[in-house]
Amino acid sequence: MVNDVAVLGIGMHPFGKFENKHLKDLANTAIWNAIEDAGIHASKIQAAYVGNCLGGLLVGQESVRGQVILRHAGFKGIPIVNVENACATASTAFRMAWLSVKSGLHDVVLAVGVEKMFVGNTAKSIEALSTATDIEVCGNMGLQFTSIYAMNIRKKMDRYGWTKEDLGLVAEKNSYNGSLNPYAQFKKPLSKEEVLASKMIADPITLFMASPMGDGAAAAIVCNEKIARQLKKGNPIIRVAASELSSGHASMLESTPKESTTYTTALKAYEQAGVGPEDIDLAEVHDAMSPAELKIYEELGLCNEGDAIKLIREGRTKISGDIPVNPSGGLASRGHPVGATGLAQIAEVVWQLRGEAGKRQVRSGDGKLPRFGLTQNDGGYVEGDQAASCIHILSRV
Amino acid sequence: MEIHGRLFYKPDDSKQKPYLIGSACQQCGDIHFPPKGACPNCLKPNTLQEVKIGEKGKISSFSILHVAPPGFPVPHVQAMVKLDEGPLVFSILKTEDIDSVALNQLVRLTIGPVRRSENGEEIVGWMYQPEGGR
Ligand SMILES: [Zn+2]
Repeated sequence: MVNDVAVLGIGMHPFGKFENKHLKDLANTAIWNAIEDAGIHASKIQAAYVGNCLGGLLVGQESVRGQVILRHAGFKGIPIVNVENACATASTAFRMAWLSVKSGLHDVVLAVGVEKMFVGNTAKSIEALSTATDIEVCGNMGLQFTSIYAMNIRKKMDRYGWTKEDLGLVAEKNSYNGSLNPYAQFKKPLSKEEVLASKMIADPITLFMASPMGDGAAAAIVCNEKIARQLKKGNPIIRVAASELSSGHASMLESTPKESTTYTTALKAYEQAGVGPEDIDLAEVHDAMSPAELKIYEELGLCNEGDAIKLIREGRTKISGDIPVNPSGGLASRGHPVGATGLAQIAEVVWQLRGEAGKRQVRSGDGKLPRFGLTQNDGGYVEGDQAASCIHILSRV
Repeated sequence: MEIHGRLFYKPDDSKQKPYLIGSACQQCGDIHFPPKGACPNCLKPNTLQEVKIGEKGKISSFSILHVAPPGFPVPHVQAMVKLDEGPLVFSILKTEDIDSVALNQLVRLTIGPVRRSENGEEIVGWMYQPEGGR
C-alpha cells in the first residue's frame, strides 16, 4: 500500500545577491519559513533531503553539506541525504522526500534546496556551472549553457518561424511577473524592445533573456495526506499528484517535441496524476534562457508542435491568460540559484493553488483558483540532451 | 600511429588526417561519440569496436558568443556538428568569417589549440572549419 502525499508547508529565502550570507543562513531561513507555514513542531520531521549543486566547487564544502546545513538549522539525529542533480537538484530532493512518504517509511519529511553562487569570483562561478556536462568531452571546449540554449533556440527559429520579437515577448511577460514577486531577484518589468536591445551574449540570446547567478534557498515539508487532513481541519490541502524523474534519452536540438525527454517525462506525470495537459491550470517551467519557454510549451503538450508562438503572441501564458506559465517570473526574473530552483517552482505552485500568490494570483475566467499546477525542472547536459528532467503535478484537493 | 587522447587523433605531419575516436556497434551498426562502454540499443557487453569518424559533417545549429570564458576569443562561434556518421558533436567553429556561418553549412575536422589555459599553455582539441572557407 502506498500513501497519498501532501505538501504541508513551503518556505523560501529570496533569490538575489547576498554577499554576507552563508549557505547555512540561506537554507535556515527557507527551512524555518517552511516549518512555520506547515504549522507543525520541527520535532515531527523524521528525515531530510538536502539539495545543493555547487557548494563543493564554490565554497569548498563537500560530502556533508546537508548535515552541516541542518545542524545549523537545529536538527540532529534524523537521517539526512545529500542530493545533487544539476539544475534539477531541488526538485529531485523534493521527489526523494515524496518517495520516502509515499513508500510509507516516513510520515513527515523535509526537502531543501540551497545555492550560493556569489562568491566574489564570477569566472569561478561560471566555470562551476559548466561542469554540469561530460567534462571529458566538453570541459576544455568552453561549452556554456547560454550557448546550448542559443543553439536550440536558433534551430527552432529556423524550423518554426519564431522571430526575435517572440523571444523578447517571453522575457517581457516573465519580467512583469517577476516584478510582482517579493522573492524575485529582478523586479523591473522590461519591454521586449529593452530585452532585444540588451547586450548580445550568445546570439540570439541577449542578457535580459538569461537567468542570472544568484544566492537563495527554498524548502518544503511533505507528509502523509492523513496528517495533512487532521491539521487542516476540512480546509483544502495540496496533494503531490505526480512525481517523475528521467535522464535524457533524446536530442535537445534535433528531436521533435514529442520525441523530447521533457515530453516523455511529462506523459508519465500526466498518467500518474490521471490528468492531461488540458487540465493544467498553470505551469512553472525551466526557462534558464526565457525563450526556451516556447519549446517547453510544446514539449509539455500545452500546445501542438509549431504553435508555441501563438500562445505567447496571443498572451495566453500571461497571468491573465488561460494557461499561465511562470507566474513567478521564471528562472530569468525570479532568479536561478541552481540547487534551489526546483523547490522555488514548487513553492510558487503551492502558493498559487492555495490562493496566496498576491498580485500574481492566477484565476480562471470565472474567478476560480487553479486546481492543477505543474513544475518542470531540467538539469545538466549530457550527450546532447538534458541530463535530468524532473516534473511534478500538484493539485488542490 | 600515436593516439593523442581518448577522443581524437592529431597527426604529426600533414600527410595523415585527424579523426575523432568513436565506437561502432557490431550488432546494430550504431556509431557513437564519445566512444561508449556498451551500446544503448543492444545493452550487451562487448559489441563495440573503436572507429575513426568525424572528418566531415554539417552545422546542426550554432551560436556566436559575445561573452566567453577566460582563454577564448570574443566573439567566437560554437556549434553542434552533425557528423556524416551520425553523432552530434559539440565543437568550436574555426572561421575568420563569422557572419557567413549558417545552418547546414558543411564543415571539416581540424585539430589544434582550442584555447589557452590560465598558465598560457595551449589546450589542444577538435574544431570544425567551414568547407572551402578559412
Ligand atoms: Zn548496438
